Amino acid sequence: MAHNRVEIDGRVVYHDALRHTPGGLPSLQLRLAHASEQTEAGRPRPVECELEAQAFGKPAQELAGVPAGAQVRLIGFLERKGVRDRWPIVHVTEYELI
Amino acid sequence: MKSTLRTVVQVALDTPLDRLFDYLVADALTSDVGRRVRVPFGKRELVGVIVGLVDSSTVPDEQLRAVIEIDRQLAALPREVMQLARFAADYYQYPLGPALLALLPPALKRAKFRPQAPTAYALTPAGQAYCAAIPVRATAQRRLAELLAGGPVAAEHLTGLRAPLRDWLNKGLVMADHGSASRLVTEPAPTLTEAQQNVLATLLGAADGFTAWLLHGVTGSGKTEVYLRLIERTLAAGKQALVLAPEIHLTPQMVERFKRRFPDRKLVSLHSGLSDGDRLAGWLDCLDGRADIVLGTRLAVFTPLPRLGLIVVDEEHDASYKQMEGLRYHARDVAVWRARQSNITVVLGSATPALETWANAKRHRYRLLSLTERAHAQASLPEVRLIDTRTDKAALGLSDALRKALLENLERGEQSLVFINRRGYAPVLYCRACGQVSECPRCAAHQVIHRHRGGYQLRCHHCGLASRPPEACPACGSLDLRPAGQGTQKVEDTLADLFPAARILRVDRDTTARRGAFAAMREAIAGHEVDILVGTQIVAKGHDFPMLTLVGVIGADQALMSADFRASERLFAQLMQVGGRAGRAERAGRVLIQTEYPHHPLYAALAAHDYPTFAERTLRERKLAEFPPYSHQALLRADARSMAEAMAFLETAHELGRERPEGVLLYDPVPALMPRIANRERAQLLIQSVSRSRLQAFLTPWVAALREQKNGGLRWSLDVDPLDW
Repeated sequence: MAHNRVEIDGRVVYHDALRHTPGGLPSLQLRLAHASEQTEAGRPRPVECELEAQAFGKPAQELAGVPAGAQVRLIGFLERKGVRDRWPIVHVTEYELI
Repeated sequence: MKSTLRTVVQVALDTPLDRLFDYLVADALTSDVGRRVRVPFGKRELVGVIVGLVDSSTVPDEQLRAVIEIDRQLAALPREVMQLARFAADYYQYPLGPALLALLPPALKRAKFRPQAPTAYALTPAGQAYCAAIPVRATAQRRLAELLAGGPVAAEHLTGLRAPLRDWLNKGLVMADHGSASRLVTEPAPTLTEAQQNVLATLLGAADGFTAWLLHGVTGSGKTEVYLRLIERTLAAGKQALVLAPEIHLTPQMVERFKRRFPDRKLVSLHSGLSDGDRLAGWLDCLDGRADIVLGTRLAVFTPLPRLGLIVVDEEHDASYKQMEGLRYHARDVAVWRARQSNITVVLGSATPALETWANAKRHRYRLLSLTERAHAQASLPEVRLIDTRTDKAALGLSDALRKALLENLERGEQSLVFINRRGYAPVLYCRACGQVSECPRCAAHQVIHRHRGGYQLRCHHCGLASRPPEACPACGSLDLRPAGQGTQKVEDTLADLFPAARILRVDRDTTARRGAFAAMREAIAGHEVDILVGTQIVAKGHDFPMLTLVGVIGADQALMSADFRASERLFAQLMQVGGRAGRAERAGRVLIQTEYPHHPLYAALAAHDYPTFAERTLRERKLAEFPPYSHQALLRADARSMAEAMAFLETAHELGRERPEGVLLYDPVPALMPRIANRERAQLLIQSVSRSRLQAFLTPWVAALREQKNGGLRWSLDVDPLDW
């Protein structure tokens, strides 16, 4: 199977209120601010970005209880946002509070 | 050996065979024509109606069976009604037996010829005197007296008191009550406007005999008052009046209005919501000539009325006048035919007449009368504004302009209506990842999302199948499934979020399914316990809500894209009706229509309240396309387990119609617009002609030939003057 794994730490900027899909599955949209130091071409430098993430099921339910500002590690994969929007979004399958 | 002493009667039976059945009877009289009979049929016993007497039968004597019983308790169906049934059966290409039996109330189609128990009882004057002097210890009698003291009481409330009731009936202290004379005081008639006076003067001044009138009156112009005055004159002449109204329009309030105006007249209301007992009682009042006014839905058009003097068809454009199964009659057209046959006046009323009717008025087949202004002195027609949703984008279905208007109305304490002709939460469940939408497994249709017990449900509006929404997309497995689009439930939620203090009421088929629910809602609205109404077309028809001053229309554009050539006519009528709810009394009304086509001529005519311009333009299009009313149509529908089967039958039908009168056009069979419903594949064949008589001349032998076809599990039906595809 082709690789598609994302593991990234960051601060929860905000998340929406927990919703449910019509099928009854909890679903949550959140935004993560990442900051770290990375080495590129042998030179270390600070890195910063924000990204959109989406969770379903158990991680959605639990992340909904995490306050904005908390530091988390998100683990998941990338998928395009929608049929007409091929830009990726992180789907969270696991997370850790750090 | 032929029997000479016995007569043969021809009996119409509710069987699919297009023929009458001969039976022997010892003592038949010509006056028995139109009476019910019980007859043996195979191993069963059926109820039929005698349609004729003959001296001898073509059936061999030994095969002729005898009538079991003739029902002579009931009056025979009058000749006029028998003729009406025959006309309907011939014209709509349906066997006479089932057509005739369909006219009878359900209770009379059962084999037992027992007279029905009355549904209510009332005290006689003797009874009222007696009640004052009932001994203290006669507790049952005292209870009965107490119950009856307030007026007629339904039989079901007297079940524990059968013995004293029977006793009182025998002594003449109580009598059966068929919903007769309530103790109402005649309500004075309102003063007529000048326009109403002119219309009435024309109507009343016309010669006796058959005339068909089209009363074209804008919403709120007081058409009903014109009907009431006409009825008044009809009753004064000792005649009966038949008033037809669409199902949804025939409310207890409308019945009350008629009762208040004619409190000492016998008014019967006939519709499918009645219990069999009430329906029978009302029908018998008509048959026996006791009823003065009959207020009913389409089925009432066939009611036997020996003194009929006037027929009124209110909201004559309404599609509910067309019966969609069995005898597929159009009650308005049958009413006109009946009026001509009885040589009486028929009045068709509407703010947006059917284009067929408008064309008939323009060709002077019907005489046109117009009421162009609202009757209420201060009421003017609402201002109609189009909101361009290409610039004012609708978020969750509601544009900024509409949100603002709703807020203003709330602040002024006036009522608003948001009209969206889609019930449920959202039209589809949509997979964001792959774009798949929820399909009904049994129909060629989407499943609609409904809120259901705190969660959601997928429901097919065609076959009724309901299921739990899936957790994952059946096509791609994605979990990101979302409701897409707007339904009444979702708009209700959105409005509740936007205006937390507003009292919001949703009115659609789901909320009005329970008996009495609709009446309760009307009261809540009239009592101003509601600020914003969200509703489908169910609220659009004929209700007066004086506090309602704003109507917002969302999702109307869809009908502009429909493949059905009548869609724009229907949309115009619907929007005119819904807009007509606004500002019917002192307060001015506003109508905001959200559209991406603000320059569409349909909307322009609507904004100008200009039905005639819309009608003329649409009629020109119809003429170019040779669509009705410039041609006459019949639609042969077939459904089977497979499309191939359905199409094969229609191909055969097409072949059988090879020889046909000139000017009758048979189109090729095609799959229906809705090609599958509940796992039945559907196809259709359109027959069209500019000449109604030539179309009829073709249909009769053709349908007879179709009936000869063996077709296994295939079902077919013919619809003359079809309204829906």
